[in-house]
Amino acid sequence: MKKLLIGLILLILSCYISLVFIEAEEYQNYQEIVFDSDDAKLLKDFSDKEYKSYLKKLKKKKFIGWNILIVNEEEHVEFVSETKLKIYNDGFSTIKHDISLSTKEETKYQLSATGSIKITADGKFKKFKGSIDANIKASVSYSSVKTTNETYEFEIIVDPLTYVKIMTRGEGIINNGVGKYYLFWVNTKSGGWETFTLTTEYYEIIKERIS
Amino acid sequence: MRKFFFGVIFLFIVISLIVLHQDKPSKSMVHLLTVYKDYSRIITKPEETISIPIYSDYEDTFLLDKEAITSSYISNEINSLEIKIDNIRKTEDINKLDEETYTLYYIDISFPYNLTSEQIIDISDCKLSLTYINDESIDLEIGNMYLMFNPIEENNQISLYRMFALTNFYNGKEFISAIVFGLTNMTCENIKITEIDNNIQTMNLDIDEAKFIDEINNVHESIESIIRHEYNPIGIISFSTSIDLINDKLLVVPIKYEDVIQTTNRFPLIIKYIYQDKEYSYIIDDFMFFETHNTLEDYYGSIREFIYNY
Repeated sequence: MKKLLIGLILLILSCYISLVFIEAEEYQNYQEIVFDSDDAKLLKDFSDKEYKSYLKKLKKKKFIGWNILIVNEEEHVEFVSETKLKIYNDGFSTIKHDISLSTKEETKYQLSATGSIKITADGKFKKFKGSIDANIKASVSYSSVKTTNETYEFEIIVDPLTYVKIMTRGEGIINNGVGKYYLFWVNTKSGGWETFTLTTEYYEIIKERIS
Repeated sequence: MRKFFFGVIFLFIVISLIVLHQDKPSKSMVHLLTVYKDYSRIITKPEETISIPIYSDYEDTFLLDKEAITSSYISNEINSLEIKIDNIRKTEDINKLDEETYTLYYIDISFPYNLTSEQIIDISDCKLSLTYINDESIDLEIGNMYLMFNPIEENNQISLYRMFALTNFYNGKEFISAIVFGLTNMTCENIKITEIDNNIQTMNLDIDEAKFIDEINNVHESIESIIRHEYNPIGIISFSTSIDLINDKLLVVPIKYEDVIQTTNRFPLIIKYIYQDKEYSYIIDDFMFFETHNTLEDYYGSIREFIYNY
């Protein structure tokens, strides 16, 4: 009975350890993210082996607090974002449509985390939960600059049986890595972290026939 | 009794110190910073607004209180237009410049009248003039305002199916190097494009160097690689050529800047063309081609300062 219970506990623990939950934001869902560097990759694309090897590199133990390792620093990426909006005209006469667009503040600065590293919201802005946020801030260019850009309106004619969409391409900076937490020199938590800073967005109008 | 007396004095001193500490010293001087830039817009309806960014080093000033404004104009030495202040929005965008901290505000202005103008209203070197209930007035230098008051009309001859900008970098700043159009000739006859205008005096679309291509995917593609010869983005354009519109091809039109390269990212496009020997215009509303997340420091050189003394 005791063996069965221990076996069950071990099974539950091993399942828990092998599941790497990713807390991620919008940029993870972009249609395409391409790094300038061939070696750089997103946190979600780290293999188990890579992830473990990065954690192994964090050898220095601490009395209390986080130790972090930067895997990809200030890596430039280009992306194709989601279609901002689509306006359909399936009628037989043209329609005039007002498009109102603005960049959400949250899309300019986004975070991801795995394992025991968590993301928390500080008002409108997200940050890593606990003292690791300060460690990352001190190590990489991580500024939760609160920027607000103007909303803009655009009026367009949509021909019959067509739709208009606004596509966004963009550029940004990715930093990622792993971290280990120590309590009395004992490693109690570990995980991966990633920051994404949007630098530029390019807008494109596309009008296509409704098929 | 003596203890009570000292107690009262002590309490008085403590309360006075708290009150003094909480009562922020009022500022004797407010610095308002504006970014001198081009605003080229087509106003399609009276509710449409233009957002003017203003940076202030003091938050509790009547200068940025909409309710304190009694009249407002945009003007230069030739033209003047009465405007409506729709809103003054305080943002959470805090910027440092020369050791001072500035908060970004937007003044949203609109034109509360049904005005239509075929001609562009040119308010170069434009000042935003605000008068307040205490009869104080301020003039803020905001740049160049090029306005057209037109509804966007249906066009049965030309249709736009694609549009985006190519950009490049100069001294670390991103600028538009060309506009890429996908245009369809919806008639059975030839359409000749004679001019494409963005209403900005110092930033012109150079149709002499325009080229039709099949596809382009890189927004940083160089003009030279498209037109296959060297191209100077600074200079004066000549209107010597016209272009026969070709369907199913993308038209790349380089941008030429008159004196200096500018970072203007939003403007309308007025395509002038000849169809059956008559001249027409196809108007595209002002479009934001790209957006870079700038801080106040990035605008260095284009910043204008207004100092108000209380």
